[in-house]
Amino acid sequence: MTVKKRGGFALVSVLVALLMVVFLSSIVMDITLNQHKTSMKTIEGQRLYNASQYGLEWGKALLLKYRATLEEDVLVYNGSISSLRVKTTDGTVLDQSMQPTSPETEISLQVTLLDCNYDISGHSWTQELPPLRLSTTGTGGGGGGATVTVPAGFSVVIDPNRLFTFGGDQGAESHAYIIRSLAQTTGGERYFESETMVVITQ
Amino acid sequence: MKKKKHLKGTFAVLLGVVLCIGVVAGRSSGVTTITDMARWPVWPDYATVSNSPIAPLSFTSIGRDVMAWVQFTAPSASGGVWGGEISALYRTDQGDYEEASVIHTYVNQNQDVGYMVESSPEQFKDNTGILNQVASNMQTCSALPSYVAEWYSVDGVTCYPNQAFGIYSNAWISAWFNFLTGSTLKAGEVLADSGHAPPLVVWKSNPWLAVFVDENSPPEAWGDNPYLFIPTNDGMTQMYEVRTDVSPSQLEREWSMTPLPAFRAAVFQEWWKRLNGSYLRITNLDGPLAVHDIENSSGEWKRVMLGATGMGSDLVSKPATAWLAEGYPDIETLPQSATGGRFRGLYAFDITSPESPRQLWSWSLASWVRDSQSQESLYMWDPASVMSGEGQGYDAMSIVNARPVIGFTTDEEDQRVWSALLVCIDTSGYFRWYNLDPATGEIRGTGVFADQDGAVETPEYYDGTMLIEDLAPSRVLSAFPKEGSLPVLSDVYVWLSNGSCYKWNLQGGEAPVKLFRTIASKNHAPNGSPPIQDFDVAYITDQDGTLHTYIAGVVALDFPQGNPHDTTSMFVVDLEDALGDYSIETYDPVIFDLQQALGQDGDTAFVVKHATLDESFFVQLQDGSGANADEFDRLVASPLFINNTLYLAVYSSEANLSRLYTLNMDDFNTADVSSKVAFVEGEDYLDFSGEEFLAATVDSEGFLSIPKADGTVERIDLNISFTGSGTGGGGTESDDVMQTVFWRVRRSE
Repeated sequence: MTVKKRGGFALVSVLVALLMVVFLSSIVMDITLNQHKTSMKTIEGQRLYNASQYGLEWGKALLLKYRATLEEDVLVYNGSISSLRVKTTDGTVLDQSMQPTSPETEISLQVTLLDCNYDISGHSWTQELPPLRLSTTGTGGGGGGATVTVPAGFSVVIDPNRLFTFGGDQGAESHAYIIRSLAQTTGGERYFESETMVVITQ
Repeated sequence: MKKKKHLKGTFAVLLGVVLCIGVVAGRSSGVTTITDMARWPVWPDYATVSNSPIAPLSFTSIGRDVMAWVQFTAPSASGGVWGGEISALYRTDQGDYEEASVIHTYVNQNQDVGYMVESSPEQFKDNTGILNQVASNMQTCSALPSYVAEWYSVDGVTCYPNQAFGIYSNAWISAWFNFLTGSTLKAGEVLADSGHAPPLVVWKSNPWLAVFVDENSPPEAWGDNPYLFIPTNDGMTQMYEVRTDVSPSQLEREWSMTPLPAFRAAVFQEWWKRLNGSYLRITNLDGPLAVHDIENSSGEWKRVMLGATGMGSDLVSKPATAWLAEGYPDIETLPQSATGGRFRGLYAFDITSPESPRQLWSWSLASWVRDSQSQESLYMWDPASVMSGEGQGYDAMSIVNARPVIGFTTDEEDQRVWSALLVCIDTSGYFRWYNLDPATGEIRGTGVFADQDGAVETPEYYDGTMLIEDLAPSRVLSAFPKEGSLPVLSDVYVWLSNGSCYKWNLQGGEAPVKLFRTIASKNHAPNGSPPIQDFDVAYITDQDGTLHTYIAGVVALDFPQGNPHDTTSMFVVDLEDALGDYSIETYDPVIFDLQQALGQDGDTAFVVKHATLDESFFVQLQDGSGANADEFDRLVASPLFINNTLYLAVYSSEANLSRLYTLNMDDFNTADVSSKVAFVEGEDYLDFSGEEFLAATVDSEGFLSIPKADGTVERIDLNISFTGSGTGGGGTESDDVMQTVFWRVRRSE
């Protein structure tokens, strides 16, 4: 009687152990798959970020290349963001004639260059509009002369320990531009858009 | 039974008489005669302080690579001296942050530790020991009301002073010197606590002057290394060189100087120790420092450091037992009682040559009332320049816990006029402003803060006893004018610790104008909500391209007797939209009743649009909804506007959670914002669970840098560049053809 009972007990124990192994294996598989998905999403996010950064740098290079021929007059906003795209003096829209090649496979890239020197011309402000910064001629220090100001949106507390940005307003004539760079996956499910404001001093 | 009781009573009386005779016999062997009771000295009393001081955190800087802060060590016994420990982080050229080692030892202790009576520092000691001049100067400067060499005699034969200063022995001055230098530790630390004064790191170039005024304003004697200044309540102002040229970086103590106001009072720490057996805390140098370049009357650029005694000290009569401790015959006479006494002062150093500080001017005032006199006894010391002409008015100044602002205005001939603006609580118990000449200390103007109806501003108390001004002092800052041009003192904002906020256009010759008041009501009793740490100002562009003035501050709702479930909150207001035209005479200052505005909805981590007044909102600093949510009880830095985004770093010790708020102001200045805007993690804030933020700053490369307790640093690229960045001088024009103003993520999925 005792021997039989012990044999049955061992069988049950083995079965329970097997079940636990199967159960734990499924959990490990699930975790592994999830981790893999998460990793893939993270990697994809990094690739989108990289592509977007590449687009910004490409836009900067383009502006620098054509800085001598960029339109200096105030643009008039007509209700479409296209009216504020950066032009050369001969009317060529820079980002229309040129676009970068995405450095990442299966990720498309679109760069938009916008001029901050514009007249809103009675239209309502929208989130799409770039910050308004009229082209200025500053003094470059020493006081007096034309108005120099700290740009909007930044702390204006006067403190020796607080440096500030002019956005390049000081010195010779300067012109502000917005570069927007949209990177998205082929299907458009995921995207990353960044923007930067640069000021070019002539 | 009755007889037994009677015998017991008789025995007790006899015992008492015998004991009294014994005490009297032990106190004096003869008859004491005092020549002039009015010369009975008064001493600065030792202070009791809050166990959780709020004030000293502030170290906001932008575009700088050193941040420093101080932590206090409580004494083991109540009333004892507190310790202070400074810490500094330096961002290396490789982009890493390293903790600077702190070296408190002096190169030459005898020369580097001194005190200021006149303009040049004097030494406490030389190689032969304590100098006799120290005791002589104390007799002149530190004896209150005045030193009397032959003040009392015993049996009419020998006369003794009312206050001994080393006449009997210099050993005690030597002991005090060791206490000052840190050879004798204070609550285990070399430094004493710095009260309301955070450490101040100063670089060679002040970009606001170098760019807008004169590129030659930076002092030539200053090098690439910045200097750290910190006053401590033992009575010393210290300067450390931040050695960024060595690796690892170091804080090296260059000098410790006792300005005249502290020299008058600090010595009594040693005398109290003689009586009590341990060092006690006197609030000698409790006020924050301001350092700024100014032009003197000759047009020369001078770098000025302005400091104050802060809370100051109470004054009490010298204990009768003190003479015995000084080594003189005991005095039988009971001490004169002095009540309501205060000691306070200001001082200014010329630190154009940082290694050779000089005292430009100082002001000290002691006042008290003897019980036996109906008139107040008032003694004031000032250099002649302060007392002459219009220089009266210091007698009203009492508590100066707000950091002064130094700047300039321009006159009709476009000449710069330099001013130091101070906010204090005066002797009448009102908030008062002062406009001083920082070069001489002469008062150009003073007045009480009063609203448009003439109602004066008064400080408030926590639990009916502790001044809110002590816990969370008033804050003063100067903002760059919205119209640009020059950084003149036209937009000075003063946020008092009773919640009232004023704007002061000194350039326009105007007195401060009240804008609004933040309060928290409990049972319909309004209590001012004070600002905690510095607040910030920025101009934000609206949909029409119009600039609006935004003020962001952290206000306390809980400790000024608000409801217990309320927390410290961040408050943001658009002045133009929320207040309307506050320049008109009929303007009625807005009261932001933050408790009433929120009600129970305040127990959420939501942004709340003000219920009745447009364009203001606040954020309760807690990690969830309801009364049980964990509070962010530690500010890591004050609020800061960068590129249209408001940053605030906080830490919750309850939840061991750090949070960085990143509020884009575009989300709050559009007309369709509802009464509540729910935060989205990743956009409006970032949480760091299990991580403890220590500090936050924006470094010279445009990174928001947040050191953490585990030794790592969280860095977030704000993609901004600075004018005049780095530690060098000048910085007027950039050679770059292209400058990046900002970078940001527009959207992502």
